Amino acid sequence: MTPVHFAFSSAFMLSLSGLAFYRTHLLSAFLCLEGMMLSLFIAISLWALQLDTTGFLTSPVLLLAFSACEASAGLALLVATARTHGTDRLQNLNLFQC
Amino acid sequence: MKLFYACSASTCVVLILLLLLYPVILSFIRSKSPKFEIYYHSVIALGLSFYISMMLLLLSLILPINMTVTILPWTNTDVFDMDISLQFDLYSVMFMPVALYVTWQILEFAYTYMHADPQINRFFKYLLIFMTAMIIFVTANNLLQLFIGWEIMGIMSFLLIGWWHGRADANIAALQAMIYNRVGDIGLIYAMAWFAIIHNSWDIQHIFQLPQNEKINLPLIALIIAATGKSAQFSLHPWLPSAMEGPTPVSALLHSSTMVVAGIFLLVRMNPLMEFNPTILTICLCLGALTTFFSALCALTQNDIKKIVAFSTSSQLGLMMVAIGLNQPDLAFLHICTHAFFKALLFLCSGSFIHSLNGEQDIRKMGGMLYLMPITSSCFTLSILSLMGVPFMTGFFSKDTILEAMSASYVNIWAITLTLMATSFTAVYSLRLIFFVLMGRPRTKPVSTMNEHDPYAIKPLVRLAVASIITGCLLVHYMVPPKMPVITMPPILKLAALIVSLIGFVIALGLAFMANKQLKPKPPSGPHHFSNMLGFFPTIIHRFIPKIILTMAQKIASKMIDQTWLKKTGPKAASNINKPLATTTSNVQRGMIKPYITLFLLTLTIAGILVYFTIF
Amino acid sequence: MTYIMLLLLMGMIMGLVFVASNPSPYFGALGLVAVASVGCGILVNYGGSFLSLVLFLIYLGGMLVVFAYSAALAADPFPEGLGNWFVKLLVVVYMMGITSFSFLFSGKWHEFSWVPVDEISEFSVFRGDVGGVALMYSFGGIFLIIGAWVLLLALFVVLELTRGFNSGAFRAI
Repeated sequence: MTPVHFAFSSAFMLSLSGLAFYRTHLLSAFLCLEGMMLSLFIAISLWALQLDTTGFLTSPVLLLAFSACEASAGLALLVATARTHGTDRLQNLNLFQC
Repeated sequence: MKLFYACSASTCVVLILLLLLYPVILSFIRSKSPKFEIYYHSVIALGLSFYISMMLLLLSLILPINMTVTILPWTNTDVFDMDISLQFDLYSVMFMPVALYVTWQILEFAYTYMHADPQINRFFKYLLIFMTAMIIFVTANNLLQLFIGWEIMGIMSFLLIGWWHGRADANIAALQAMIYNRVGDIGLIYAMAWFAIIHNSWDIQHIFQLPQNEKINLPLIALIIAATGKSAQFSLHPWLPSAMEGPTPVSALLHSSTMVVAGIFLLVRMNPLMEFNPTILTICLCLGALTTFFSALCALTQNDIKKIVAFSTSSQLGLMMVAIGLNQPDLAFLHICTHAFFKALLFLCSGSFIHSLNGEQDIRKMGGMLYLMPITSSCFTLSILSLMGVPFMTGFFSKDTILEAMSASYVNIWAITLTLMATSFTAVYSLRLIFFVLMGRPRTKPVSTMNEHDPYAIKPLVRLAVASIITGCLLVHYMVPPKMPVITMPPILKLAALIVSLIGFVIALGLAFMANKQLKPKPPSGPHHFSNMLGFFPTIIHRFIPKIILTMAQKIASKMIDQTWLKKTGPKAASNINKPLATTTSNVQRGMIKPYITLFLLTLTIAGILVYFTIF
Repeated sequence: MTYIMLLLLMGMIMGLVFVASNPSPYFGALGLVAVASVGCGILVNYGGSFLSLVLFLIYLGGMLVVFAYSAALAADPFPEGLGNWFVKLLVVVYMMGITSFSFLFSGKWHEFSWVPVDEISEFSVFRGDVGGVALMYSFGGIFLIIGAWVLLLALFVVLELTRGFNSGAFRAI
């Protein structure tokens, strides 16, 4: 394992644990999700770059597009939550209720 | 000659049994007929039975033989035989006429007493079945027959005490009689089991061949327990006063003259076993002395006429037990016979009073009966004199003999003292009965409907009164006591019973006249309450012990074992073990994202670590 | 070059530690901006200059600006930065976790490989990744269409989520 592998793996794990523990703001959760996305982007890019397979270099761009979709949906949820509840502080993020 | 005697005696007994059962069977056949009255058939059957038993008695006078007759085998196994066998000895031959005579009179009286009862046919049927059982019991030669008679008597006693089962008191009394008698039955069953196991025979003549050692103490104590239950000795006595809830003829027949003496009779029968056993004899003596004293003490302050008579019965039963303890079974048996007459008479007279006063039983509300019902009052007085042991009445011959034998022997002085005090108490409560019921002015309700015109009510009383006067003399002349030593004793001992009775009588007379004047605002309470509340015995036994048992059942069995420990270790434990697991699992799976992400992180970490240790 | 690379990697980890340790959204967005910048540097060092550019323009310039703006919606009256003791504690805990994990792998650091694309170690604008991304318009056309469709769908999703008087921009004051 190279240091760069270690770096993006630990970056992913850090973002995941940040998402799992101690979120008070919905936006903070989205930021952590973005951090995960970023580490994935870097990981896929590095994979293609290091193996010199330039044909696969489209995948990070597509990933970025999808992450843009995810971010837009998330921010729309944030806006909706802020409007309906007055704040975006979340206690449990229950799947079954708001 | 023996064969002749055996045949005629067996025939007599079988005839008596058939005669007694004949009205019962007839009632089944003709039960539909509204005119059928079992009463006439019963009285005729009993009269005939009495005469037949008299024939048997005369026969045994001519041929004084103790004989056992095996009529037919019942079940014979290889190791254990049970036969239907009868015993004709002094006791059975003599007791049958006595019991039949008393029953005859009581049944005749019962027709007057119970004529308004819609179930009168059934009442007579019960009495006849009871009498049949009594004959079976008395003539039994083996323990099985004895037990059958014993049990039928118990059942009939239960049914008859609860005759007026609409009353809660009657039901309670019936249940008490049943339960206390069951305690006695356990003793009898234990003794039977012991004899069957150890001696392999229930035949009484075989049992008498047992070696006399300490081992026999166990069944003998069981027999004493049986007698204690049936004959209302101390500690199992409360059912007898309660049994007065039944109709008066029942009290007269079952609970004074015949059934209650069955326990004593059992001990008389089994006397050869305990003849040389001082332990058992001492137990009997002390038990009897305690019973006679305690019952007489309780009788002193009762106000219910039947209760007083019941306690005097209990006291006399204690006296019979004392005679057993003195190793004088013949005297005990003599007292059984004489007691039957005067106690039945006493009860019938009481019943007559009660009946005339429309069911009033309180002696404080009687009085002046001497002028209103002269014949009954005379019979009442006669029976009481006999009970007190006035010389040359029936009671004198047995009671005085027992007391003489007692004071002449070297037994327990405590028992002698108690018995003598009980004798003087007998005089006291007897006088109290006479004073309150017969003397003075009427304290009854103004409208008096009493009369003595009904011959069915008067004839039995007169017949029994005659019997109370003469039978003692006759019986004593017939019975030649084999164990009674010819003794001489100082006059003070010879007259001891009479003297204490006389002292009691005089004191009671003084007290009775003094009791009219109330000197203090409240009568002295302590000893009076002890006597009036029956020594607090029923209160303690019937409340305290069930309370302890119920409390322990509630606290230990129910609360501690069932509700606490079994619940804690059984269902609660399963739930307590599983609930944290279930709670933890379901807490994770409540549809919240954060736990899922955390689980994802956890599994990812674990997977990473595993992969690391696998690869590197 | 190696030292710069290590520095960048350290910066990425540090930035994400800061993001993960639950500061206020202001500071979280700032941390993510820093991480994204550092990521651009890493990609440049690997020779992915076009990808780096895309990341910088789209991610930083497009999305994270929106994030930084949205932080105003989730405003805290008392923003918690690194000065807060709880954030400090989390930072320390995460650092310790990362350090202990790095000890697990520290024996294998020799597998260094900084081989960039095209095996050219100098900075250059036209690298292999330009051609690679351009393949999207020929062989990867279907992916292009899917991506465009997904973006359109996301537009409708956003529209549906924030429509109406309850959850949208309309307010009844």
